[in-house]
Amino acid sequence: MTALRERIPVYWRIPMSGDMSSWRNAPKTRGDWTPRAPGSIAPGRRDDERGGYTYLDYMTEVARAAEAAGFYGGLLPSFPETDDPWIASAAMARATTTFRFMIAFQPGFLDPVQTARMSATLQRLSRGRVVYNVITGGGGPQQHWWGDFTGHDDRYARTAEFLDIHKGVWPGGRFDYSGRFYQVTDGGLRGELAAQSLPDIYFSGSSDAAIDAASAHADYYLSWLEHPDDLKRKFDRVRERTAQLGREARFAVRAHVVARPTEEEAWREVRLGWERVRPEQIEMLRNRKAESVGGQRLASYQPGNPTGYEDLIIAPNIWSGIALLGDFPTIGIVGSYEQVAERLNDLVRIGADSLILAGLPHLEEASRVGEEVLPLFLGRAAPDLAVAGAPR
Amino acid sequence: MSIETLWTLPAHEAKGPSRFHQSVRDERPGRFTYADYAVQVARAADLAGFDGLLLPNDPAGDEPWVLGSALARETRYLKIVPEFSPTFGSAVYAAKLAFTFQRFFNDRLGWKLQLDEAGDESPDDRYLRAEELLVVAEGVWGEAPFDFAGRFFSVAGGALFARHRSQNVRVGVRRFPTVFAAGDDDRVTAFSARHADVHIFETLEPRALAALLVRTRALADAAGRSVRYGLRVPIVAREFAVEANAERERLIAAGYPFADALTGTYADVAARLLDYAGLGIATFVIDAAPRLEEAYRLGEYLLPRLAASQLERAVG
Repeated sequence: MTALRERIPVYWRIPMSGDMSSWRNAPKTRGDWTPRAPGSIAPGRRDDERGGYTYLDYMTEVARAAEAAGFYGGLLPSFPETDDPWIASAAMARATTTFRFMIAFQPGFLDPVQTARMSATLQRLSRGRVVYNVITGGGGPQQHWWGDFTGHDDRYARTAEFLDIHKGVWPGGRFDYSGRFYQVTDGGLRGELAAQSLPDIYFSGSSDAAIDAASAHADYYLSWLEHPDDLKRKFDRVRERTAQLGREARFAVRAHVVARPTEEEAWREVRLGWERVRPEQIEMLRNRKAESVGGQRLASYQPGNPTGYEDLIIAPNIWSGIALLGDFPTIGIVGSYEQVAERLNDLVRIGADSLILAGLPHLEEASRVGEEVLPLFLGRAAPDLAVAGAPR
Repeated sequence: MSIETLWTLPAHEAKGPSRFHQSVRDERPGRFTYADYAVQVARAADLAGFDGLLLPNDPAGDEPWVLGSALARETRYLKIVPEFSPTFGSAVYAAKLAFTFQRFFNDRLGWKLQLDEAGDESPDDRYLRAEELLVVAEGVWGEAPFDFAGRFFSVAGGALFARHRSQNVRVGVRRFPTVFAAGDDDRVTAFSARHADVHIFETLEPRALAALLVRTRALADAAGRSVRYGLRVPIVAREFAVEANAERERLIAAGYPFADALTGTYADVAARLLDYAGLGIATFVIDAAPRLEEAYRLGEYLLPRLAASQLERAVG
């Protein structure tokens, strides 16, 4: 195994539409995105009245906890039913010091020059802590909700144009562009904005069109956790395509983790969550007709008529039912601190150069995973993965 | 109608590199940016009692949406009014950004539409685009799924609050941002009559202003709308007129466009503003420099005079 090129940045997820108090409880009891229930902690809605706090205050606490626990930054997802990551990042930048803000956005929604200006401004505000998660949309009604009627492959073509322009305007100076989707006249960044560094681009998408666009533009090709064999095949495809373009691919994996002091406790947590899952939820996930290739793969991991949560264990410590316990379209890692760290090591072995983790509730689990799992990740248990030049 | 005052913070104003002699330790370079200064100005305006802060859009400076969000986090009451071009992105995304802003900062957002600079687009297209932007953003700002197919923006089933409604919760309900437009030409006043909440005029000449007010009001009446009228006013005010005049000369020499600034004692300037108020101006967008110090100065000496005069009118 060759030495890694770089030390691995590990991110945490910032919950953008409320948080659950545990894997066991379905309702989101934190934040004001869901009805108040006994035990709700809804900043901004004390006694059902608006107060001085808002949901931003909770998100900021998650960011601070993750920063203190050693995470490199946070992913801020963006969906119709979430708060917006641009506004949130700008508001949280001054409340944190080293924490990076990985902003999820769809290129179709903002003009590329405007986006460059927004990012460069945020780079100035945060002293260079902006990262992109470029997403191209799952299609269907949700895309129309956003006001986007562009078809699947065209969306990736548009993303590619968007990123061409983005990189073109960034160094400043005159930049003109005439494409299928965008026209730009003299769009170069000006003044202090041009002095900022271009954010790293994490790029998601599993289809051929996505991989083509990612190979040309991504700093990190980002995938949800999949069965390790599938993930390895996918990375190989991207690596091959990227090499054809004369570039070197880097990879990132998003994984939800249920980490406990013992394996037994971790599975107990999953079992308690599983007990409230209704059979029709499983059928729905299994039969989901997703336009996105990643969404189809998630469906394929669901067994028919499972008799218990154990039927959803698709590889050691890999559980395919995470999507049933919360609104995360993914599978997850379940185990003791050592096991979870070892599964993360495995991800590095198949090519991951960066990780994005999450757990419920995001605030306390940021501390737990940062304090208990990350110290076991790489290091002594994985001498094959040591970074060249890193202190032992 | 009580008078509303907005402070102005340009998107950039060079503070320049350190002017300390190299023999003096200076820890600022690389650590202190315009955003830090902007926060001081926003806090000053908030503490001094201004109602809002206008963040003009300038390609050479910081982007107002991002800067505005950071400033909102650092202030309590101040209404934050970023200026942006209708070409900045999709209408739904504009609404989405605004919705989050209103959720995080308790409904303190205003939208200043930048309509004067057309770029590659014809003015006709730009105004139609701005109109569609507002139609779509207001359309999705609700609980019922909204459909629209326009030349520039389309949407199907858009509804920012829909999911909350399905659970019979009203957590989604936030105020749509106050829409500002500015300018004196016929096109922009006609636009404001139909679409803006606040229209900001620019001429300081009372007769011209009065004529504009009459025309725009007639258009708004015809559209069955009520619009609030404002005026952009550069101000140089001091205890004594001689001090104000000297300061104005210094500012002009330093590059500030303050040739037309209302200049004089606090009482003089307050009287001028009240004259404008008498014509029907209810919002003053005040431009004064330096931004931090003048926010306190005018908060201490000018705003109380406006308030006192309003009180007298109310009582008398």
